[in-house]
Amino acid sequence: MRLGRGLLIFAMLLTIMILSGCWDRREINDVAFVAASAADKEGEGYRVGVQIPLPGQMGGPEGGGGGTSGDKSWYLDSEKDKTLRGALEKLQQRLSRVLNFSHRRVVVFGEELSKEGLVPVIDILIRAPQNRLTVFPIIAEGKALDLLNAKTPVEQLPSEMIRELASLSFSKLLLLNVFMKDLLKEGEDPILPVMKMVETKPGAQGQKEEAIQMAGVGVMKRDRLVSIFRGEDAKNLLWLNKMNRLPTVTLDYPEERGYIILQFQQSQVDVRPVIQGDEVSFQVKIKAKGSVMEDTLTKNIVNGRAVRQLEQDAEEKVEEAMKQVISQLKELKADPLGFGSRVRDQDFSFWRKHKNDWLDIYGRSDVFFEIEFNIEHTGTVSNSIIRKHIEVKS
Amino acid sequence: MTDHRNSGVDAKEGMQAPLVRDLARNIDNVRGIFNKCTDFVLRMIPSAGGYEAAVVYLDGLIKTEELQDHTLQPLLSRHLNSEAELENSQISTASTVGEVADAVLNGEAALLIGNQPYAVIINVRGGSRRAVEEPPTETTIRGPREGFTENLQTNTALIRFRLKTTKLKMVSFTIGEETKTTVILAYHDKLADPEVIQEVTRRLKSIKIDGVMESGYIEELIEDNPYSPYPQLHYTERPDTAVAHMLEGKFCILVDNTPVVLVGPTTFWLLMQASEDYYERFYISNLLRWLRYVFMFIALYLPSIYIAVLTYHHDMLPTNLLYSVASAREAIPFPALVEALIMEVSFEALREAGIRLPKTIGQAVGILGALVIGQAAVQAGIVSAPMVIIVALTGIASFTIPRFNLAITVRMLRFPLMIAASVLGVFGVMIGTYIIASHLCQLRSFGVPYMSGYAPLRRKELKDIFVRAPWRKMKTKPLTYSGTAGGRRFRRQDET
Repeated sequence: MRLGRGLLIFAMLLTIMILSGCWDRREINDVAFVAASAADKEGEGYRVGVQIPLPGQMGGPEGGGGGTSGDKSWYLDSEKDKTLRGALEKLQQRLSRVLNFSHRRVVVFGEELSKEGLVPVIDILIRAPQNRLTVFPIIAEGKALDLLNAKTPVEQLPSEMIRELASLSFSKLLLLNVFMKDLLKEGEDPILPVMKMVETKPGAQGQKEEAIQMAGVGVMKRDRLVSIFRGEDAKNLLWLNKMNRLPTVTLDYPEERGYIILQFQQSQVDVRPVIQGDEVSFQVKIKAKGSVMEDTLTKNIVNGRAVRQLEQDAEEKVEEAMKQVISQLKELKADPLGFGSRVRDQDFSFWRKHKNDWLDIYGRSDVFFEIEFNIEHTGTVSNSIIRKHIEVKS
Repeated sequence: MTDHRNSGVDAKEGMQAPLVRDLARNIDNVRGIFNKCTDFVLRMIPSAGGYEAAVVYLDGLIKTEELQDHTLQPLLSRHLNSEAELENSQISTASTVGEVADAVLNGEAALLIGNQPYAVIINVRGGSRRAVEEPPTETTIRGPREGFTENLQTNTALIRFRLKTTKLKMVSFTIGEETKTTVILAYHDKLADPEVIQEVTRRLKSIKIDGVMESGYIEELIEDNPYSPYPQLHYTERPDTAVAHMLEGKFCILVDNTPVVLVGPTTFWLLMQASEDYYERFYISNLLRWLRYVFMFIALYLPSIYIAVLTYHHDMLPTNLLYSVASAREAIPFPALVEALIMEVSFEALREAGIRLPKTIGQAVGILGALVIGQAAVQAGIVSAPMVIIVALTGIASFTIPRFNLAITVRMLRFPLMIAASVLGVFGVMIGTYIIASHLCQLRSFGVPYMSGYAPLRRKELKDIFVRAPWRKMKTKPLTYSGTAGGRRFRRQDET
């Protein structure tokens, strides 16, 4: 009796297994994992590219080795269609393995597409559960597909290169979920990293090669790319946004023919809106602690007075640069610093009243800076080695 | 030792025959029973004036010197008036031929005396048995080196050495129609649950079998659920472990001719503990205990999780790990399940081959297995390197389980889980887990829930389940085994 019941249960379980079958079974080698995808505007539709790593070429143990030609460890293909999904379906028609997006880490958007607006493209990224929100959205200067086609000797895949670069350049990870959060937040515009292709200066026998490089920070107005901030502007924008890694300031002393480079290990940025009637001004406080990283100057910064002078020079320089950034942003009517959201947080009735003409108010608002630098380490040796060198000679 | 000689049941006429006052007839009767037994020895003792007598015994089962020195010498040198004159310390009497036969079979010598209707049974049991050695299956770094032997007397003595109290009771049973194996139920009278003891006694008495070669026979016959893959009786070869268990209120079953002593009632946790847990300092004992739990889960689940992830849940792997696994699996012709089954089954075969072979050849099997399965299969592209790692890890993990019988269970259950994983993915593994868990929770060992302490939860007992609390903190005995709130384990000096 007891055994009979056990047999019955066993038979039932077996039935479940046999009848349901391995309906979802998909071995790891039946799947093409997309490492990165690219989207470009082409005519009325889109050109979508997918980068698929080839496990057989990725230097596994002996015995591996699929039948692909060439030495590349990845495969890049693209297709054109009116919709992104359509393009992917066309791509699938010439792939023996099922496209799988759950391990995609990078999506690259072309410049043209970004200028038109990213929302229609991002829609597909949010809908399907396979698409992860921890993907890095990147804007390519030029064509997005070119970025995926770069040679990246350091990393195995261009997608890895792009991902590492994107995560290295900011103090927090600018993932798709961050982008979406900024996009949906009232009074704040998102920013995106912009990358481009550059030619490397080769060594003795090297050939010139195209490599991926950070171009700057893409300033968005809602989902549209309006400007790319480069160099110092990009750095200062990030500084104001508290997204930079170790801000540096280069002080130029033309009359003494040298530079001093400061790096700030700790910095605090505090933005406070001051609402007066219908007008708003902003008080930006920057406090930073740092040290001298490089000193090509013969200046002696050993005493407190010299250090204070240095701090003052830096404060002036940074204030000037920050003002430049702010005025550019005001001109673009883009608000990546979230000034609008700060006003909203502070005085919601004001925000409700001026929500629609906020960008005008933002455009004519005054921004005051209060910068306080504190330089703690002027060097391990009290003097610059160059100065010593000069002293010895003379 | 009770009078087991009376319990021998035999239908033969000759066995029932009483001893009479005629030595020749008695000798004929006994000799008739031991017909065609070359090891049967009968020695006539001639004496001039008094009685005539004969000694019977089985060659090899007795201490011949002792018989010679203390029985034959005095008999031969002077007239025997009563058995009190024998110099042997252990003597008793038998009044039927059957009793004489039982005693002789049991390794005693019988002295048949003319003109007397009884025989004197002289306990000169001996014969060569293995000496007390360290048990090879339960070696410890720290702890006594003594292990049980095949000799029951030695075993009871080894327990008595450690538990010097009259509360230690040893009840003897004779099991086996033909083998007449002595089985001793030992327990601490105050600590053991009387109901459990009553139940064990009932179950032991109800056993009807022709022979008992090993305590495994008894184990299977008294288990609550003989069809469960989980062992419901613990076994040990170490007297210190046996005594420690009795102090927790458990009983021990000693079976003659085997060094393996059964311990019960058993819980799952007991099978995860090694005796060394209590001998080493508690920090290291805790760490080792946790390590064992972790590796028990690895032994049970690792291959099935690997299969599930590879066939269904690619998203669960970190991207870089996925790439390296995918690149290793690129040229493998089998699906993950088949690959895993090939490897797991060959690992089991390798292990089995290694056990049965003599030690010297066993090494060769190890080398062969490592080379053929470990390396050549990977190089030939038949099996992927990650799978070899998984199988090796699973194998090592199953060896960390201190009890061999539980390790076998875990290794066995791995296979249905692997199949479930290949059919339903992690969902299948979870179904398997639920089945195993519900089985474990309904399983009982002599009425004690198998997961006792955890399910049903007894918070005070968790200190010896998930951790090994320092001895100072183990103030109460586990309720699980003793049934009543028993004595205390540790008592400070200022306490009474």
